[in-house]
Amino acid sequence: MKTIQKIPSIWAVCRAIGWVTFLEIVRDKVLYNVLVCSLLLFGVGLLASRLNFLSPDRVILDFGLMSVGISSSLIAVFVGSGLLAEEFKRRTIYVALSHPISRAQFILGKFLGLVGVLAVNWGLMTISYFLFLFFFSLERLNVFSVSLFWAVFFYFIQSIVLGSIAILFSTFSTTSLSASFSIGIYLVGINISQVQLLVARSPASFGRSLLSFLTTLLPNFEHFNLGIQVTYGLPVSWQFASLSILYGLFVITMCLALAGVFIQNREV
Amino acid sequence: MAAILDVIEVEQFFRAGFWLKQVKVLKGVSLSVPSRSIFGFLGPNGAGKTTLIHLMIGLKKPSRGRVLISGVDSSSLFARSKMGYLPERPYFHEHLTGEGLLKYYGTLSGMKRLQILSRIPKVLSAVGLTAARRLELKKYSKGMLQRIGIAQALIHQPELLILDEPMSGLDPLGRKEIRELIVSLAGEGHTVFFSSHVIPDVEAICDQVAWIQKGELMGCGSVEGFLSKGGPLRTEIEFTGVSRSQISHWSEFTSIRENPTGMQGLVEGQERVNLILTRLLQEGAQILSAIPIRPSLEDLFKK
Repeated sequence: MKTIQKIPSIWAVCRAIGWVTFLEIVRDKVLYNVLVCSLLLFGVGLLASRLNFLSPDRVILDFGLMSVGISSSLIAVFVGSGLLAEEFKRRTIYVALSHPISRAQFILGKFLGLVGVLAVNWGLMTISYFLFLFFFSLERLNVFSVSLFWAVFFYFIQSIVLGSIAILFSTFSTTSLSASFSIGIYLVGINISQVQLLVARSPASFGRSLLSFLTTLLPNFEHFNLGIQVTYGLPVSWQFASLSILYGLFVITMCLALAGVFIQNREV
Repeated sequence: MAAILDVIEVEQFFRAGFWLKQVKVLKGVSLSVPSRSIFGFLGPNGAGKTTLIHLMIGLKKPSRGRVLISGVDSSSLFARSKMGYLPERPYFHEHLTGEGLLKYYGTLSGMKRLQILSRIPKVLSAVGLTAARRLELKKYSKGMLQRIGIAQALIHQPELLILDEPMSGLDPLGRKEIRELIVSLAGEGHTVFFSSHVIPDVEAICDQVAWIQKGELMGCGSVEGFLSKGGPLRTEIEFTGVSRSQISHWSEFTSIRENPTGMQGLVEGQERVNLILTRLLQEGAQILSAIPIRPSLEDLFKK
């Protein structure tokens, strides 16, 4: 008997797990429900724009952008929260982990699969959004700006960050709790400057110190939200864009590293 | 023969209930699996078989003691590269085809794409699933899932195969086929460790056997060794040509009964068989059969 006993490369493991995860997610009905709802939002935007005589294109622009953002974020949170739970529920993780792979590699592979789905969803939504803008805006090509492209791209980065947060929570809690925690973190994260303002205006106390600590610890999603720049046609600097991307990568790395630590100690 | 798997004084606890009371599920279990053997791991449901298997495949770490595969801790990547595992309930990603599943687990085992592609037809043919290779797993029957589970455990030609209840839920024909598959795998040089709560399955194919009950190892050793503890060999002799009254006073027979073709007598001990056969021939009897009856593991474990 000629035995084949080798330790697989990290990339090979992540690619294989990622591909299987991708195939698994694209069969998930949640994905299509979110996608359909988001496309419907385009239609709502069109109706709303017809009721607005001053700046109908801005309404279409905002609704469409919101739709891309919501669809990416919801898929990241709901699919990301359930990825590990499904593996545990169906016990498919047992066989995978009996192979010479680490649990951290497994997490990374699941994350890559999720990123693949987010990329496909984002690509489809972006193409639909741009086509929609082109055909239904009054100014046609004039609505397209560099800021718009950045804004759409940053929603993609935001969804990946949210996905990594959801996966982190799913390593130690249930699907519904992971989704709730992720949504909570997102809601705080998109209003972090308001919270910082509150901290600055509050008198010195334990509560203020705690709030100040939380604003530092929690991810700041305002880095990925360029809605105002798009609406008012403001430029996006390269410095802001590159720093935001680096910030996103940092949050993702931290979340996945923590998820790797938590799953290592989780009883299976 | 050198041991491929050593379980040394393993204890496993878990916490259960509202007060998180500590429950001991394995109590100082020690066993050794010789290389190239078929090792049957017997025990009733809830005895701790699957828990010990999870320790063997490195899914859990023992609370106390050690589990070694080829002398290396079972949770290490090296140890896991040497084994193939079939879970008790072979749940796999249902959207994958048989071939897709083997590609997936082949990659996780460190195989190159070409190696996987050349191994797939061989393992599928070994488990009899060549025709279903492109079928999605959700369309597989229970028996087919069991077979594809064995195929994924085999894809990287591991030295040690750990099969958790490989015959559970299968019909008699399916059980027979899996038994034959295990024997042929051992013939190819794999060491097969499998758990079961069905004693005849283990007795039929195993060289070595261990018996666990309530987390405690009750016995471990060769099947022959166990059977030799089962008392003297008994032989059932079937004959005709003599009447019952002629032989009813013979003390060598443990029991005698008439059947449609003649009579059947049960004799205990090898030395009495020759004596009885000689006497029967002298009385003019015609011997129809003499079948040795060895005690089964089931009889032994019942005791």
